[in-house]
Amino acid sequence: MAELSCEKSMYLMKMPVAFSAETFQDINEKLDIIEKAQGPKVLIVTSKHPRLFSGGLDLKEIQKKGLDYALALYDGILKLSARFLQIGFPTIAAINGPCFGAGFLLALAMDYRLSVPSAKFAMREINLGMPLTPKGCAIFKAKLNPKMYRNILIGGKSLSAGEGKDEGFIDEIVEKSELIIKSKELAETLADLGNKNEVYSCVKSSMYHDPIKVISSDDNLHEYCLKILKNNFNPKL
Amino acid sequence: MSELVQEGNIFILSIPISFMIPRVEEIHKLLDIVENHEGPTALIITSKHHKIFSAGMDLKYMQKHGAWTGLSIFSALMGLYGRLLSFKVPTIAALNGHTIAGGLIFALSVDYRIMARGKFTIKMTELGLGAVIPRGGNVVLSTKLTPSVHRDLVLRCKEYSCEEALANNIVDELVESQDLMIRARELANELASLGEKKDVYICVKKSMYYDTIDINLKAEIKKIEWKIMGKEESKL
Repeated sequence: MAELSCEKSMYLMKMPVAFSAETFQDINEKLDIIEKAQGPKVLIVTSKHPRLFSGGLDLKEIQKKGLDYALALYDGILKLSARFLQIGFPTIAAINGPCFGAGFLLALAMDYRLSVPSAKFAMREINLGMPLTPKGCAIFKAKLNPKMYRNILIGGKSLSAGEGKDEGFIDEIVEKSELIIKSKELAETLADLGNKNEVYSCVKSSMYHDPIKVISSDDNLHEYCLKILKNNFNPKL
Repeated sequence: MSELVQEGNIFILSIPISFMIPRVEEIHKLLDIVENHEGPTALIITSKHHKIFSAGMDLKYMQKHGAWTGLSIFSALMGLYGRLLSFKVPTIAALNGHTIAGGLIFALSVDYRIMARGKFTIKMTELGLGAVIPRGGNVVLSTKLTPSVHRDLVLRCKEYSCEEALANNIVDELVESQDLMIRARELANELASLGEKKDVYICVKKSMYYDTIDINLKAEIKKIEWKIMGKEESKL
């Protein structure tokens, strides 16, 4: 379960390192609570684990429950990321360690990203023979420059936090001991923008209209990719 | 004439320095061979000319066949861009010289670009010539380049030296001329394993670039879009 705490207008959510169906439900419920709160607000998201930000979807659960469960989790991360893309208050990912797969996607769906120097970023789907569908690509396309978009999705390699900073998808690199302090400093400067929720949400929905539309609509290519993904599904990943 | 050479899992396609319809058709046939190769696969595209990678569409061909027929090369080229954007195996352009107009868009349609150091330029010439860049070409530029580079290429006809091209991420790497094919082969060998599961690779590429691919594959000549500026439509 995620842990949510609140200090004045500043919310801090600590996520588990893997996403299961329960995690998604839990995070969504916690976002409901923040959305309902009145006045200025801002959210920092980090992980409960001391060294890992996110390993992505919960592979242990997928091994136990199979392909349909995996696809439901894929749907879960897309919906949660799309929610972050248009949520009505500023969001900051405080990345305290490696950030893979669905966790990377979610971090990109937030507005700002602070990272410790040792963090690594990767999408290993291409190596695993599990192609992302257009819905899975949409947020990467919106948040990364063309070179990084290619390197991350078809390069099959992991990137360092330093590369992330150079290429613009990490805003700031900070030492581990400073991560939450710096995130809170940034959050303080942003909280007022989270006062008029409908305005903030409206601007974000306009900015990220394309990825939001791709994630929420169905198309044949998505189905086609899922077919390939199903063929290559290996529960022992 | 194009030429395809196979070295184990690596294919090297040498293209002529300008495009006309029969040449595009020939390239498609050679690309079929690459996509049908089983096991790890990667493709390098280069030219045999000593200082030109590609000058884009063949202006002489256009003059000879009349502007309207000549312009049909645009839709053929866009079909080629669309195919390369969704190609089943990793692709590398080894830019051995000037890379211009339709030739630049061609190079941007592949996955990676390595350029030989030299007095070569990268540019879009259309605006200077009073010609239009079709939507399919522009959408490749906007997909693969940052907004300011796209603007400077198209709206200012800015010429990029190879060093500037590297600094602006138009190309990924710059190497000495004599090392160009060595480095291209090295990268191709590194990437070839991703070209083994061709259904996966094409799926990811289609997912990544689906709208760009769509626009190019569905492109056809529309008189209004293709009209050469300043000339009457009847003369096209």
